[in-house]
Amino acid sequence: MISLAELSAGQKAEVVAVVAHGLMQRRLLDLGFVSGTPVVLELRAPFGDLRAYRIRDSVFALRAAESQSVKVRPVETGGKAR
Amino acid sequence: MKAAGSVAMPGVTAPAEATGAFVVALAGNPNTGKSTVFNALTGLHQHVGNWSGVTVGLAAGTYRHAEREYRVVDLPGTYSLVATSENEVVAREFLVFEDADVVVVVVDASALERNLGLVLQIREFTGRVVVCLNMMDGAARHGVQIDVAGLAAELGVPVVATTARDGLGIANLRAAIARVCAADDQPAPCPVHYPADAEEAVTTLMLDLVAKDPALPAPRWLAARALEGDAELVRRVLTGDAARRVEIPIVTTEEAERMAAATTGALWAEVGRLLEQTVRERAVDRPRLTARVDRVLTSAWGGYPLMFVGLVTAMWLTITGANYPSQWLAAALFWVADRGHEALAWAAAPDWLVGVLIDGVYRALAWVIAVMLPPMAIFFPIFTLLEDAGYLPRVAFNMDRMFARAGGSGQQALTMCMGFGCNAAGVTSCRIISSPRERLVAILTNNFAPCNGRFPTIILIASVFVATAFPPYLGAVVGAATVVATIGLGVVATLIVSGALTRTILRGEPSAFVLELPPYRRPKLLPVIYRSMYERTLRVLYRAVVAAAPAGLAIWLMGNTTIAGATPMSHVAGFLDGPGRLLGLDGIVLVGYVLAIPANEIVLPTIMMAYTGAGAMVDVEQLTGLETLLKGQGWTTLTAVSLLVFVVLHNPCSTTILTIRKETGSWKWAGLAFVLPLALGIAVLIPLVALARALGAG
Repeated sequence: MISLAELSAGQKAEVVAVVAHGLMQRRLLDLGFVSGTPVVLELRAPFGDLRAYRIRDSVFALRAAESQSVKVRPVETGGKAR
Repeated sequence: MKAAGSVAMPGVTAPAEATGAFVVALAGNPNTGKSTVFNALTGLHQHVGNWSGVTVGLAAGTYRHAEREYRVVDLPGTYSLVATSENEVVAREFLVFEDADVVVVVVDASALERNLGLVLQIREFTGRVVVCLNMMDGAARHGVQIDVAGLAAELGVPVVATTARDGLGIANLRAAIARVCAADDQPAPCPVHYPADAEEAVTTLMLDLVAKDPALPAPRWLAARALEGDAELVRRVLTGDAARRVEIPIVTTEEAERMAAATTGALWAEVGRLLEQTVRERAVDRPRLTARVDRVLTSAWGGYPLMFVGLVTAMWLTITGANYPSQWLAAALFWVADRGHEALAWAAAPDWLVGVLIDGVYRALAWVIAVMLPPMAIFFPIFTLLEDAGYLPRVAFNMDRMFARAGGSGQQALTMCMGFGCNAAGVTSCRIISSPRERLVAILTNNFAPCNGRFPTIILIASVFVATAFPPYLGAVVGAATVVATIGLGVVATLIVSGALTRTILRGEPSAFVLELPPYRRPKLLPVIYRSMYERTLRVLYRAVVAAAPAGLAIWLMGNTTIAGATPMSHVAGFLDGPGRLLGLDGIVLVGYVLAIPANEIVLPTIMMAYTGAGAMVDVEQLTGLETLLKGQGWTTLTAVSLLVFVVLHNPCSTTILTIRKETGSWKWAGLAFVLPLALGIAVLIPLVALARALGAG
């Protein structure tokens, strides 16, 4: 199990848990970062730690603190779709 | 919610009863075309609504359908009904306390999964719902096939497919809204089933709530929110002495967070089930074009250079394109002034009347229109085009590192971009920032983004003083680069002051930040022209004209009356000349800035009128004559540079100050927002000018 921050470009994964608290936890849950959700790293910002992930039909950029608080399990490409 | 009983708070009257109109609340995620649906429903019949509490100032519009009046309220775009930002607070307050007859949830059909989360949350809360499945054209293009009837059956509420920007499906939407409003019985809220222990806790509290206050709307939804830690909301909804009798269990932070994980987990599981049932084909990847364009526009090598080139190009187009129309407009409007002179002379009007009407008020108006209209009519459509195509979130994405370093929210890049349009609008847009501390930082620094009222001054000084120093083929590019450098100064000031604030009076932990990067969309020409011309250009021009007329009168009076042997203008300008010189400017420029507090747009016209002595601008039919005039008044390159700095670093206009007062609820912050940029401007200019003079400039 790794965090979102450790994904490489284009790598697919599945959310295991959100280990944040308070507003950050709530925000991530509301965006659909819940157990079992597929997520892909789409983009990295030119400089800095902002990364954009595709999750549930849309793309959201998160800073390092948020990325690190979402634990994921990498999924083999060509594995189960959706 | 009507059927469920009263949820009105003490002192709050439901507008529906007051006007006899049905109240339609328009909810939805950001980027779903919600405002397009709003416009399609209400046309031009829009105004800023008058609601209670935080929901004050929501845009509302009306339309008639089958001889009934409908009042549509455009709620802010939100991903959820949980109060994690000011926008969500506003949307939730309206839904809970304003008793809408129907909630229309606008959904992006091509991103159904994302949008269904909010639909289910609202469905948990009320049965009076219509789902507007918008952007059906985009869904079709991506090969998404949705079983609309099946979705309606699953949700238990009407689902209407629309493509609002082509006006498709709007008639059906109105009909569905009418049916829900007219129906006596409504589907009950639709519960999402939680895991066993969460379910048990929610049910227990719900039964207690219902026992104490049988008329309570959406008790299950309220019980779940209370167990997630928001007991306050429930207490506010409860009526009479039930608020005292209900025992809401005190939950620890861990328990609240476990509950939130359980309820949202169940919600998204239900979304997954709905998708299985109703969507036959789904787009698995992002639209290929968006993915490709993003790889270029947000790349390490291209992100910043392309942003810069784009800005220079926009400015170059604005400067070159506005030049001739401005001259024609000025020529035409001043021709009218001359005819006015002749007419009044023929009518034997007294000199003072001619002076006040033509040389004072009319010339100020003519100047403002001739100078401002052409650049705005070019710049605003370009800006709106980029906004509609979806480029602005990419700017925020690229610039986040700098805002993170300054301790600000990443959303601040977006609110700053809005500030380039209008600082008052920029200050209001800070509601998207969830942390109150970071929101305050963004509000206090918004004025460093030079707004469109200030662009004419920047553009004019850049083209008259800087561009003319170069051969014509270089002039426009150098002029554009000067404008961009001035904007750059604004961005740098934003970052430095944000950094200073977050390290002193607004210290704290950075909050959670999420930024959506929606797919690029091809902008629709007509709405872009409508929004940029009507909502931006004409609105800004109107503000300028309203401020210019009295200013023109004041200047004429100041320049044409005599107190103690001299005009009031020369008294005031003489008084301010010392401080003005220290800033590299002069007394007249400072007078211009004082008179321009209601609208920055009139700074230059005011200065021009004051310079031309008699209060009349004699020789401005040719904008190139401006250079001669200003140089005749002793302007140098140093004066121009100082003015460009002062344009960025000075107090906000009165509208922005009042907006800051409203948004922060405090004159203290509004006062700081006034003093901060002005003090910075003085602190930067005095040493800069002294140094330049020591080196022999100016």
